Amino acid sequence: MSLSICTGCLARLCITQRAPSIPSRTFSTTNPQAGSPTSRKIKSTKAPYRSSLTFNRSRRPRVVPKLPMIGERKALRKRIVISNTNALEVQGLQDLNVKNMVDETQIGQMLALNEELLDHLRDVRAFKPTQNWNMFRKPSTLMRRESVELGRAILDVSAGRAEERPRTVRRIIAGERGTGKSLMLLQAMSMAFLNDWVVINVPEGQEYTIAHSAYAPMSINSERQLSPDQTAQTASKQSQGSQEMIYSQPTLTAELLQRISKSNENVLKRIPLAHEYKFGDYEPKNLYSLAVVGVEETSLSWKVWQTLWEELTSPSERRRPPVLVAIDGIDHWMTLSKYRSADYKPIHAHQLAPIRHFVEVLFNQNGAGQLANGGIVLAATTGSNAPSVPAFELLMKQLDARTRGLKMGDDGFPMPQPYKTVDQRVLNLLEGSAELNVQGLKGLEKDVEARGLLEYFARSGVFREVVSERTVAEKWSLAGGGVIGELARFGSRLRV
Amino acid sequence: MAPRLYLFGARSTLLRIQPSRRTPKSASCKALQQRWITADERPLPTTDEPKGPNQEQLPHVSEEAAAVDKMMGEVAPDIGQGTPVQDILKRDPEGQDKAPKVIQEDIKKSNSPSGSRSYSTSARRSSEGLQMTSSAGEMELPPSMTFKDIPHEMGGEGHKFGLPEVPLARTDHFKKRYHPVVDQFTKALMKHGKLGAAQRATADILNTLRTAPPPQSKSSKTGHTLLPSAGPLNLLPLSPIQYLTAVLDSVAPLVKIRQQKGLAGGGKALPIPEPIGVRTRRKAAIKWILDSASKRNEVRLADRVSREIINVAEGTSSAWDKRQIVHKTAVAARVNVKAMTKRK
Repeated sequence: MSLSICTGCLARLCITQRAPSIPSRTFSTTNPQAGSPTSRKIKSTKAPYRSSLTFNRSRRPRVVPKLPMIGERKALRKRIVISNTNALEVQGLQDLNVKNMVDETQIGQMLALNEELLDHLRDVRAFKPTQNWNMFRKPSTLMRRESVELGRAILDVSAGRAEERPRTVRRIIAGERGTGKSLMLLQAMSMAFLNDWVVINVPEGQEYTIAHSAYAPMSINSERQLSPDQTAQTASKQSQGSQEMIYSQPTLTAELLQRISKSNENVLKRIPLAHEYKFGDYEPKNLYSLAVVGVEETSLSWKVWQTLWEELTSPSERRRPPVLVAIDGIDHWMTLSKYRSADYKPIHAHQLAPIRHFVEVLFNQNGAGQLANGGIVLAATTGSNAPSVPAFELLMKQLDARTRGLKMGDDGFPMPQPYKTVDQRVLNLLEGSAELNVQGLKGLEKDVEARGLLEYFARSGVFREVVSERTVAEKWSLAGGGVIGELARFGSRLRV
Repeated sequence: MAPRLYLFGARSTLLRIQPSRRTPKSASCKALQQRWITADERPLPTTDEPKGPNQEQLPHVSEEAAAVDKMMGEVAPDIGQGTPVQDILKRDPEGQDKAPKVIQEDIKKSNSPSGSRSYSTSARRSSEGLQMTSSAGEMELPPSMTFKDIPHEMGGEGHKFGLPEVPLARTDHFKKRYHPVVDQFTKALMKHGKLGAAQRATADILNTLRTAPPPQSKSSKTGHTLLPSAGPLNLLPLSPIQYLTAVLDSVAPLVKIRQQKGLAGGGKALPIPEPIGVRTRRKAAIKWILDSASKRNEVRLADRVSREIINVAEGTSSAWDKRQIVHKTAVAARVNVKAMTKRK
């Protein structure tokens, strides 16, 4: 069936100003014209169907609940209280100091953090809201076997610095949820502060990837060209390197600089700069004033950070303290971030400048991990908020196999599945990271460590049962073999 | 008229033979049903797998008898062949009484096993094979000793972990594992059946009670104090459950007012005070506390409720006024108690 009009007819159609005539409806008796606007509407006296007939109800104003102020709820959620004045004071509690941090007889003992240390740890954001500091009179940490070993590593590096043979320790702390990974970082930071190190802390790796702060493209490394004889793997690596855009995160870097400058103020103020720098009107004299430039001028923060890192880690005649880099939640840095490029493509976490920098330092890529003045680079995985990153899981397995003495190509060395695409950026980190090892944290020892922890709970008035072999064994088993987070929950659980 | 019940008609399902109750088969019966290696006496392969519950049973009677005979220095029966029932019964005077009549007569007739077959119909595993599979790593007890006599430093007689202390505590029951006050409070806090959320809120409340500054008594102004059994106020935060219990028990009303219809006349209800149990008293207290907590401005429910509990401890909460109203009404209406008893 053909249409009765064609497009030509439509094109020739002219729209006239004249109002269209109203067709008369032969079968309707109603007036086709609208009523005049002046005619009054007759109000119907009948109530609408199923509506309320009471008058008071409509006059009462609606009660709108007052919403909390912006940020109030988050502040509540993130609030950290590190003392409870109601808790009993534990008699004979020692403070953590340079001597007892390597003392093996202290294993299973709680050691308190002194006031000065608390200020530093607070400034560097070492405490987490999920930890139960608010239960006890004085914040204290349990000395585990691993803590003493860590203390020894710190003293080793300090001694190496003194004898002009700098050492760098690189380590990833892995373990299940609640095994004390973040607390191990906190202990490392406390020990580093006690030894007058410079402490650089990234309290939450996720903050850098969830696209909650500003970012900007920085540079394009397009100089390098591909050569035809390169192998496929290196070619893909090169192409990634040659085409990728790097993004800076000025606000996050400024916050990082603020944490560094605030918590290490005394140490940084003592160190003069090796070279002269000029950032706009700022002419910093020492490392502290250098860091403050980045805090005050957010746009300069990345340059300032690069300068500060250079000053801290380059060999110099003047004595520079060793550096502790602590990163929590490294899993989030091994996958795509939530940031988008100009083409609305997801940006890989390694394209973000701060992440790239810390990952290169941790995995010693391109020689970035050699700290001329010695130091420790510690990273902890996250147990409660871990993203699913198959490439990083594989990398961790490979690192673990390597610490067991296996080499790439050996039988039993974990390799990616042949028909699966795995993030090569992450897998390529294995090369060069020869000294990096993985420390797996497990539950506490039952007789010494778990008992020491529960005794501290009991002496603080939190654990209200008799600490005997039987109760310790019971709580230890319930806590999945002494997982410290679970043990702390059982220790503070209210029973009849 | 046809009979109502067709026992042998089409509906044969009416008569159904009940299957006989299955009795657990003895190990020897089971062994007979299994296939054994008969052609050449190869020993069976042994595995290191853990044994099942029905493996490693007691040995067959004949083997047991053979072992006993060997110990006593007597001639052991040949266990290479199956033992006839008569042979077994010969050694078992109790079994003889219960044996079938034919066998009893047989035994009476002659003590020699003349009636038994000269060959065996069952093929048994060689004794070596049996020994290999049985009693591997099993603790052999001396015959004078029973399991009750096993010493253990933790347990009492024969118990690995000792017996629980009796009477059992109330909270040892799984469903009553929480303190009764905490349990009642949590359930009252619950909305839309979300017990987990209520439990979290209760935990937060108890934590706040533990960490908040101890209550400062304002009884000189308000006249409301906690019960003397609560102890000193500054020690309350150390035991949050006792804190909560003291607050609830102190602010709880002693009586409730029942409005009895038909006694006052003229369709008017007569208020009659009635004593109530401890659970109901606490229920009223929880309701008043939650009501006044809902008017507070704190963001989280746990904060609102815990602040209100602290206010009760300090004597400033409106729950105290509600308690006073109930008690005043009760005093005014106590004459009606008599009217009620008269009626009875």
